[in-house]
Amino acid sequence: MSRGFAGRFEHVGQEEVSPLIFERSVPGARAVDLPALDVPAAKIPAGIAAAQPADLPQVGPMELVRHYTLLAARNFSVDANFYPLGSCTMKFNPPVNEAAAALPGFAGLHPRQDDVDVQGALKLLYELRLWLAEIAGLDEVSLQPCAGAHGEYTALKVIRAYFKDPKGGNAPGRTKVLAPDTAHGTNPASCAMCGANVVTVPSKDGRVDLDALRGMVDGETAAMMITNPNTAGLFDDTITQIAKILHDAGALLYLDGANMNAIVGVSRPGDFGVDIMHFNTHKTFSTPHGCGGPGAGPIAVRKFLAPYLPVPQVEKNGAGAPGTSGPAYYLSYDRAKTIGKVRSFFGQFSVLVRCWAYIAACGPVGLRDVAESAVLSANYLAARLRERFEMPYFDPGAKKFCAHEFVTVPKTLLATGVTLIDVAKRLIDHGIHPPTMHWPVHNCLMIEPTETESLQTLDRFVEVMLNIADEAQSNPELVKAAPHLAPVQRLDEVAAARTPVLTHGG
Amino acid sequence: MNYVQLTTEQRQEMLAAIGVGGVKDLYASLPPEYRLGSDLKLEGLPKGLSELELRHALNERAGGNNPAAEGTGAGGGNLCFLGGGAYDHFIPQAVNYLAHQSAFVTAYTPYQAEASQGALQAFFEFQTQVTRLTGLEVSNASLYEGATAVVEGVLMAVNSTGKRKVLVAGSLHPDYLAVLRTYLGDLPVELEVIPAEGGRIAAKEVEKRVASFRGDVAAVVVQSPNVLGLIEDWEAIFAAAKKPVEGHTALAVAVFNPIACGLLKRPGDCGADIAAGDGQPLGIPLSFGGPYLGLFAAKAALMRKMPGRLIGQTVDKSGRRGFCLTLQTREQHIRGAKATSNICTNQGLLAMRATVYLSAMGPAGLREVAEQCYHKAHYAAEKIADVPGYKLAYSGAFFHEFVVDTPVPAQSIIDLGRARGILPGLDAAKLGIGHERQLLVAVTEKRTAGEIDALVELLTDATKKK
Repeated sequence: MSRGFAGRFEHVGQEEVSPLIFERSVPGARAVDLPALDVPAAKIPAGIAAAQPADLPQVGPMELVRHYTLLAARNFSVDANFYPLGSCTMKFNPPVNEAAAALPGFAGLHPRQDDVDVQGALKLLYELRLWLAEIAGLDEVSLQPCAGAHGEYTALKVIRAYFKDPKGGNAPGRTKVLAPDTAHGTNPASCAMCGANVVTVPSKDGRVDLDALRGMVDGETAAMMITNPNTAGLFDDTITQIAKILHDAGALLYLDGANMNAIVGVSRPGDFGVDIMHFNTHKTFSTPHGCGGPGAGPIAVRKFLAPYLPVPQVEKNGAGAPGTSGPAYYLSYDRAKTIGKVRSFFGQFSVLVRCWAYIAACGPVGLRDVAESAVLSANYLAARLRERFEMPYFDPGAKKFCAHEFVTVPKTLLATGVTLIDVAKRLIDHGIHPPTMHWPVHNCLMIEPTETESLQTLDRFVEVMLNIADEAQSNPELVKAAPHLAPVQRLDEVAAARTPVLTHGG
Repeated sequence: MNYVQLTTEQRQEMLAAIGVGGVKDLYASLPPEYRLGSDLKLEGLPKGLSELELRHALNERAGGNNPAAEGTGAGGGNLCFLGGGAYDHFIPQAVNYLAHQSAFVTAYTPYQAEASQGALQAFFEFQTQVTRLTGLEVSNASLYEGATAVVEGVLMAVNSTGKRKVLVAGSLHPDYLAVLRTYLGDLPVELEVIPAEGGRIAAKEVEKRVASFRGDVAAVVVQSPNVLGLIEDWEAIFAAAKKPVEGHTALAVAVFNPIACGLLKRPGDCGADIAAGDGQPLGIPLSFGGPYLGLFAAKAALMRKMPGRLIGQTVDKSGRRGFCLTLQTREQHIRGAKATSNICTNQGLLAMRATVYLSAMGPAGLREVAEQCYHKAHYAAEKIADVPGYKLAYSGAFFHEFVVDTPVPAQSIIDLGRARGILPGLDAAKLGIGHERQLLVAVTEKRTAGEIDALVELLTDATKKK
């Protein structure tokens, strides 16, 4: 059934229920010991101690290792599986970057050490700050945000501070933020956390509807949040018109950098009218997704927005200039108009180390090739699949290409009664992670292969997709019952939400 | 090396299949004037590095630091007595080994439940552990880090009560307070700080202030052990905070340290409705401040107002137990601007570290870690107080961190320590919790009696220097 593909799960099968760590627990068992206490015990005042220790699992060393090793075997990952997951840029995560982050000179740094003790780390951060500004085509970067959504939030705070400043934008009434109907859900949610009102701009043919936009921009508009290339996988060539409409009205253009993998080194947001943007290091710059995190969401801004960036900022003293004292690199809190702190300490440091290492390995030419190869791979998949998987925006004959990802609305396949969820679960049987579904439009698959997959993998994906399209015709029940080779059959997510069980024994 | 493995021949083959002559043709919709005419100018990086060159460059930058601790390994590093929200605890090798398996490191958010049972089960176990650690009923699968977890706790209280005043203990970590101010700045919510007289806040003062806002208080936020290391009387404070005023009861938000929960009364034991804290002490390396782990738990009644990812137990078609993301209608990708938070991920890999750590330690191990922290910190405090010129800045119970009044500027002690490989503590003035002749000293289970004696000797010698 698996047609020779190495589905990860075939080793595990569906025979057993995976025991919880609590079900492996045996009273008195323990996996780790500590040196004996070598100081006199102090008195613990009555009333401060808990009546009994927290009810954590009790397991021995072998049981501990086996438990988490078996859990790992029940998980897909980029190392083992192809993840053509649109908008998520699931590219290769270089092992050398993991080793870099674990170097004692990085992993052992306390965030409150004096600058003089952390010069190497600050140098790296300073270099990354400059690199990301150049890649963005903008003037200054803050490395603080924890994730893409946190970058959005931070950037919106910066925009808000700019308009509140009498010597800045001087328009405190600008509280409206526009976002296209194809925007990431985080865009409106981040706006709400800044007290901004979000207004949705409709799309036409996969691009922003300019006429609608003109009618919506007014004296209350602070900014528009746009993703370009957009979530339909298209570079919106009306971007400068969008920028002009906003700028003429005194509003700003914000870029959600989710899709930078299509243009890194090829085109710079600052050059096409963007005033402020965030990066997702876990998308464009190969930092691992880690089952959901940690990411990092640095933001880049034009000079007039820099005074509002969060503190601290990593700075460099005049390099070796006479009369300068103190260390070369330092963390500065000196920014009178700053929005303040957006998190404790200084950014997702070990994620930023990985990001630095990736950019350093690629270099300027390599980065451009990343984007071009990602676009090539996506267009190749689209071209090979389009006969069986209808694509609203892709038509090479009409010079309509995709960026680094593409959308298919597979009407013929859906006419069989097989749903996209069925297709997704059937892909799992083939060891392939399903694409993004039902977004940005209903009944679509959004496919993003990234640049790091081999041609053999791309071809295999095509073969599997065509095979599933065949199955949908010849044996739809097989597809509807998928997955067949995962550790569990299809899960009842409705029941999970109706009667939530969020803890063991809870 | 940019990790692209397509050969020149393969690229030609792919272009032919698309029906174009070159990659530039694929950028047809990118107007030529926006195409970068030259290579990016990356400072100090004219071209990409080979792996060997890259490792040298990284080693050079890592070598340009004087690390407080040894990172994820054992041995080496300085003697670290630094705390202030990030602590040098022992990390069992099993944590590095098991949490850092590539199937966890390189996996995506577990939207596809059947392909993500490993991560989902681990996070379900994590949620269970956090509820047991905090004594509350519901935990999410983690947030970014401590300060933003406190923010989410406050926003959840505001959203669920509809009230507009937030009272915060003055003994909260100043960074956390600063982040809270940033987040509340553009929202119609008013924040008031309750001063910490003598290092702690008083239940009576809390009661008075809550009453003065006539039933408009959403939350009362109290950290314990607080930023000075002192144990606040959560029970009395939360009882005072939750006295109904004009028919409304404020929510109690406990800011906690998970290691302290191994010994001290838990937030849920003391009447907290919401608990938020940083999970860094649970097997996460210091890493210059991040990434860390936001821990977040609450009473069951608040379940549907929770921010972040929640993992639920369910069954598959054959009735077998499995796990999936649940209650997603709270979240941004479904609800947009009406979501409970803009948060889109958990800190998966860090939650993995924390859950392996808690399983490795177990109840007895965590208790022992907490007790050793307590005993060693008290041993250090007593010895330091015996050195002429030094005394503890505050009386009252503390956990593993305390402020010392020093006879010389704290910075001079820190500088002297650098030469000896000892990081004696944090300058209270720089941290924003005291003056320049105060040192915040943290002592974890990792420090030995001999190392503590070396700290005491350093402090003694610091008074002899000019």
